[in-house]
Amino acid sequence: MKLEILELKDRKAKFVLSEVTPAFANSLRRAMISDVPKMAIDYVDIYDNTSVLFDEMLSLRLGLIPLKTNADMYRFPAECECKGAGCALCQVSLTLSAEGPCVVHSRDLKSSDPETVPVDQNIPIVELKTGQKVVLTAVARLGNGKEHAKFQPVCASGYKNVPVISIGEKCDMCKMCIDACPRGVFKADKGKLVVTDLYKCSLCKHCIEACDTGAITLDTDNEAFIFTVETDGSYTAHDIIDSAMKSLKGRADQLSEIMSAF
Amino acid sequence: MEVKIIRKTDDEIEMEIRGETHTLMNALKAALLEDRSVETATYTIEFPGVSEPVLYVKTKKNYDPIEAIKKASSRLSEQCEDFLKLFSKKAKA
Repeated sequence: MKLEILELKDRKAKFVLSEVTPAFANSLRRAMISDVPKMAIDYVDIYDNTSVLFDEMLSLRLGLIPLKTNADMYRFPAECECKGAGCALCQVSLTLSAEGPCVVHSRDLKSSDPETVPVDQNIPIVELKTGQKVVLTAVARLGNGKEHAKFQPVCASGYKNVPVISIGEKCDMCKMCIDACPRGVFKADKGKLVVTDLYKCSLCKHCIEACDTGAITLDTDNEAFIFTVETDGSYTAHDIIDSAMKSLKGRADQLSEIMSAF
Repeated sequence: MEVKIIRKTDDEIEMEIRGETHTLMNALKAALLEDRSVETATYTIEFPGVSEPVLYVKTKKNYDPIEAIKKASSRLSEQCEDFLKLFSKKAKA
């Protein structure tokens, strides 16, 4: 197994994972989407809502606001000592109270836990006109992506195969492929055609179409994957990758343990 | 996770792995197929979102399929561990 990290920021990561099976790469992707627990608003008590949005719509909008998550601090309600009744170990309450005229933003949600707050402050929730009011208490809990998309910590997480571009001897340096490539993968260097940034290639095959001599061939490496992970900010990209892999490892260990008992 | 054996002979096993999804099953299947003593390994989830995955493994002679699954899952776990080590090393750099 080989790993090359191309980019690792708080909310975005890009890395090349090679010498693994497609199944392993896909399991990592699936685990990042559906097995990393995240806090999201799941229950709302509405005391007053005279805005133009129905209670249900307002609640749905609240649920989709990404919250900063510290999964070590909280438990899943079903696994909690309170048996799902709701306590400080498995839920956080956020209050919202606003009166028009104004636009209610995610920053207006006041959380009982200073660590579990909306990641982005400027997400508009509803616009209130003069005299309109919204007063509510929302309850956030841990969940995972299998249950609802609001519990997914990643917004764009996927991979593509590493392209294998080969330039044959037939190349007559017409430079048509350089213009045809939308990603600017090719470059003329000292009278020769070279590939500058292989990982940028989107496998669109425009270069092959543009080439009259048929000098360019494009293939994919089926054991190498370029991963892109974008998070919603609830965790850092590093923590999501780490926690997804740990969850997969945990289940493999569990199965191995069960099989040993037979 | 809960395992229920549906059918077992000397070289075959069919078992239900409750509470699991393609995430584990597909990686496990790939790990099983890396084993030369395993003849076939496959799984099915009959109806998405409702059914539990059923794993089927057939081994070559004198090889207990339970042993094969045990080895494959520890291999998968080792692979995950390799990734975690590699990732934490590269992320620091």
